[in-house]
Amino acid sequence: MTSPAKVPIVLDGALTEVPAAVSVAAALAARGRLVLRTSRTTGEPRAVFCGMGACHECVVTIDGNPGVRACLTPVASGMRIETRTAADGGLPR
Amino acid sequence: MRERDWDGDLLVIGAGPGGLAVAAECARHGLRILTVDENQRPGGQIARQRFLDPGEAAARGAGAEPLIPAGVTFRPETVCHGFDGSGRAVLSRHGELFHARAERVVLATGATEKILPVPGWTLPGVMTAGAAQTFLKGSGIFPYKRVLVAGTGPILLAVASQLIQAGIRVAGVVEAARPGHRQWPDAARTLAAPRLVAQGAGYATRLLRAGVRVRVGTGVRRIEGNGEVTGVCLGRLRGDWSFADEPGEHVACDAVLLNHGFSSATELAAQRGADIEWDEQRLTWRPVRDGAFRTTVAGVHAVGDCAGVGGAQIAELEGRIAGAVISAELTGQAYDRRRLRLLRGRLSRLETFRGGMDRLFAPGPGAASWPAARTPVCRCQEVPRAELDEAIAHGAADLHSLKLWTRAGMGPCQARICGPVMSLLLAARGHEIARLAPVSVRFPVRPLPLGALCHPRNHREGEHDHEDVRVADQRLRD
Repeated sequence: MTSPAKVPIVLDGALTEVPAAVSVAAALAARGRLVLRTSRTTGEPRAVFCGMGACHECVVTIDGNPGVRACLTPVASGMRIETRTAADGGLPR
Repeated sequence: MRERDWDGDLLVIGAGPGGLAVAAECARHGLRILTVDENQRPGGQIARQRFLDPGEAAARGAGAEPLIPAGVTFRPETVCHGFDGSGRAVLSRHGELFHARAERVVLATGATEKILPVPGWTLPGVMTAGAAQTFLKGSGIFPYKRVLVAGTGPILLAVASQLIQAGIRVAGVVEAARPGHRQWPDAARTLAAPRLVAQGAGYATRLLRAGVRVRVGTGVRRIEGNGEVTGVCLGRLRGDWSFADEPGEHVACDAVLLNHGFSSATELAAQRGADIEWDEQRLTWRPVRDGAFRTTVAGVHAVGDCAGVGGAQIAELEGRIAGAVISAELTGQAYDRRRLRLLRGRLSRLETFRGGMDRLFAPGPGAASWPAARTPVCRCQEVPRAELDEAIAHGAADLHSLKLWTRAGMGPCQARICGPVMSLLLAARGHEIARLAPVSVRFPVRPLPLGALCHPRNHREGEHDHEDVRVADQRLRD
């Protein structure tokens, strides 16, 4: 079902290969990375929710730009993607 | 003027069925048209196309999208942040800001899925039915193996059927509505669109063949798991959608897809200053419109799901009608009255169908009891139900005061997800939704990347940029 072509990306500092011609959210999901941020108050994991750009649950930092919606963005070769799964993750209150 | 700034006859925001129909209609009359969409490909959610590798997309070049009518400029991956004081649209693409000024603006921004929160709805693996469709249709990837589909309406059957086709196991379909004998008139109304009814029957047949159990009059009491979904507890619903006092049924699954209807994406219309009203049948806020789908702001139209959710066919017909009227007005030519009459006739039959569907699957007031005290209602600001109840008990009587009191709806989703839930909680305490003010909307309706404001390409000429910076700066201080 998945496209056989792969592209290299840097995910949270580590070089990895993901399927080409898919969304960033799907590319990371294919690598088993479903959790893209942690809750600010409880530290609970959060993942893609609406899948169409409305909820902003899936925002990641891409090539230094924060707040990019992984569900809408096509993955590209050489992308540097940072997720906010660290303890200081979440959104500014 | 900056390189990317655009000036023309018609700006269409959204490239789903409604926006594409407006553009197609107006392109036949030689108007200068810009269509923008947040997605990489046109088609909207219903005709969502596969993602392209960005390198491949660039090599294909402009004009390679068959859905975009000839003569229409299409800018994909473009966000509309709102409108400035002179009515120009403030847009950005890949962090670069630009403006678009047009004689007419058509809003075709679609809808957001309505999700009624239940305990556990923030767990990874819980998502909207539409999110599963975007994984499947857009990327051909779905990261879960055993999926429960729950909520209300025919989208449940559609998404379950798509999952089965993709080889994914469906652990069950859970429909909250329970069609009874009193609903026969509504069921009969749906026959006004026999092809859509047949489509629904096709989905049901596929589920039956795959041995998927469809429960009606049933809801998800809670979603279980620690860090990931392991199952759900289901419960029988009374006629008002409150849970009956009887033991629940456990179903194992690793994902739960939810949908309880749709809300129109009204934020651009509201930010532009259009009057917004509550639609009692569709259960959504929507811009007030006349017969040619004009909003109350001169030169601004709204078509399709963003103006009262009716589905793809209604969106396309509204787009055709609005496009015909806009073309006639801008070119000074007469309307094709016969064609307009034909389009309006088809629209009216589909409205009859929708009326039946809307009543068959309307959430009952008892759904207000679904979120537990500690269940977050606002996912962004993490406001639990108890805090909202407390604010309402202390006198917060509309969405605006509830938002100010609790900060619910102030995160990046701007109440797109929690707004309908807050309305439901207010209604449960006796407030009439139609009399409440809709959620207030300010610029920017989508977060403006600070990089866009500081980007050197955005500062070739200064005067208007300062205005954007000031507005964004004000928003940050708020």
